[in-house]
Amino acid sequence: MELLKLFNVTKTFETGEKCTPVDRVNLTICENDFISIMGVSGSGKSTLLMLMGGLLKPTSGDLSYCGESLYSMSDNALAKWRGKNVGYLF
Amino acid sequence: MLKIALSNITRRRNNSIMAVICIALAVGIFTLIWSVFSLSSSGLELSQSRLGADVLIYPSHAQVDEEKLLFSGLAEMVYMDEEAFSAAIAGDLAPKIEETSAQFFLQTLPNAGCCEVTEAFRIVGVEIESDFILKAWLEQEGIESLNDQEIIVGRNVGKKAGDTTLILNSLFTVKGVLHKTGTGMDKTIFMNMDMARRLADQTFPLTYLGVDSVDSAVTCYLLKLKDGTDATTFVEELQNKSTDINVASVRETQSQLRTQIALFSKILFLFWIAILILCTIALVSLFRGLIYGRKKEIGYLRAIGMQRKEIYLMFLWEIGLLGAMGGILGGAAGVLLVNPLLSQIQSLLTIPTGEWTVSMGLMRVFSGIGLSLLLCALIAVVPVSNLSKLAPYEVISEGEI
Repeated sequence: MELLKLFNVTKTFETGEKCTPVDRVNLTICENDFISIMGVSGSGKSTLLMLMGGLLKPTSGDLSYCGESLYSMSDNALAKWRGKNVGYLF
Repeated sequence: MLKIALSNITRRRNNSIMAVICIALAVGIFTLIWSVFSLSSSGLELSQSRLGADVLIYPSHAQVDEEKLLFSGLAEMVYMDEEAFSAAIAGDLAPKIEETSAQFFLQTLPNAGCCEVTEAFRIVGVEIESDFILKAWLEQEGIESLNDQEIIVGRNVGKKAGDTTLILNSLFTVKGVLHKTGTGMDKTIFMNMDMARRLADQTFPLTYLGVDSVDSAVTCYLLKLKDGTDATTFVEELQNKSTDINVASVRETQSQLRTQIALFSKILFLFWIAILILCTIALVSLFRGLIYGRKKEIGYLRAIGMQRKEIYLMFLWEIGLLGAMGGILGGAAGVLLVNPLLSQIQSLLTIPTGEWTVSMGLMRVFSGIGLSLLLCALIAVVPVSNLSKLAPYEVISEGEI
């Protein structure tokens, strides 16, 4: 069963210089999958995790959880979703 | 939410204590100044409405001013002869007087072992038939006369109607207790003029009293003038006619006192404003630290699903609790310090005070809490609102996770 699906997800930061750590990422994570994301420092791993964890809105593309578009949810609904479905280890 | 707010307060104990102290200081001084000002103002109003006299006449050799005679309850044992007064008002001044109330002052002797009372009280001998100071109260209480063994006591004498008490070796029955006046009347024992004179004669040698005979001795006269008579002109005319008496306008004395109280209150108010500014600066710094120093924590809370409204509420609870604690402490301290401060002020200025009741104290404590909550809300609402609006990612990034 598809749990989390990323479709052409892009995140661009514009703080002085334009920077796109996540550029058109497509990814599907199914139930019971165990996934490692690896890369050099600054390659966008944390940004991708923030996007998947509902903490950061993508600049473009879509991200869905169990078929429901994550970022079409309201802030409060997203906070509830995070509380119910996501665990973080900072 | 309350539990989280409480645990946050106890976790940051030092900051919380500092915030509570600042709030308590601002609120305490506010409560204190407000109470003292309102008590002294209401005291003046009370004395004005209950004293009812326009002019005070007392012996010129008295080492006391009219403010003390009127408001302090000082038992100044100085006397003049009734003749001195009669001679002074004889002629064109007598028709301007509506009522005259003569008083004979005497002091109890608390340390001589003659009295049941442990504190010195002022005994005032009055002629019940002509007296207009007690008249309204006597009519209200249905008291028409006072025999030689009966007394009327002020509210702060500590006796109630029907009690018996030994004064200067004579036994008296309390016929009534006066309402609070905020003046020296509250610590005064009123009795018949002749009885007061007899007590003075039995207790003190005539040389000590400075009179040849107590039978015609009087300490002061209170006059009520006829409508349309200008008190200031009357006082000047009467003073010019006799050097044996001092004449003072009661309203002028009250007006001078009002000016003194207003000046004193202004100084206290400026002092409070300075304290308030300092406390506000300290609170702004403390609350900004409390709020912006917790971006990381807010990031965590937002990440695990806490909503903006809940973050907002958590901070409001926390700051509200600190404000309430500071308000209660400050308000209570302010209310408790009212009487000691008033005593200090009264040692510098002769001012009457109004009645200080439990409900007034409670009202001021609640107002203090209200003020502290308002102060906290004004200082904290904007930073809390800004912080709760930040997206979790921004908060976590700025919180340097």
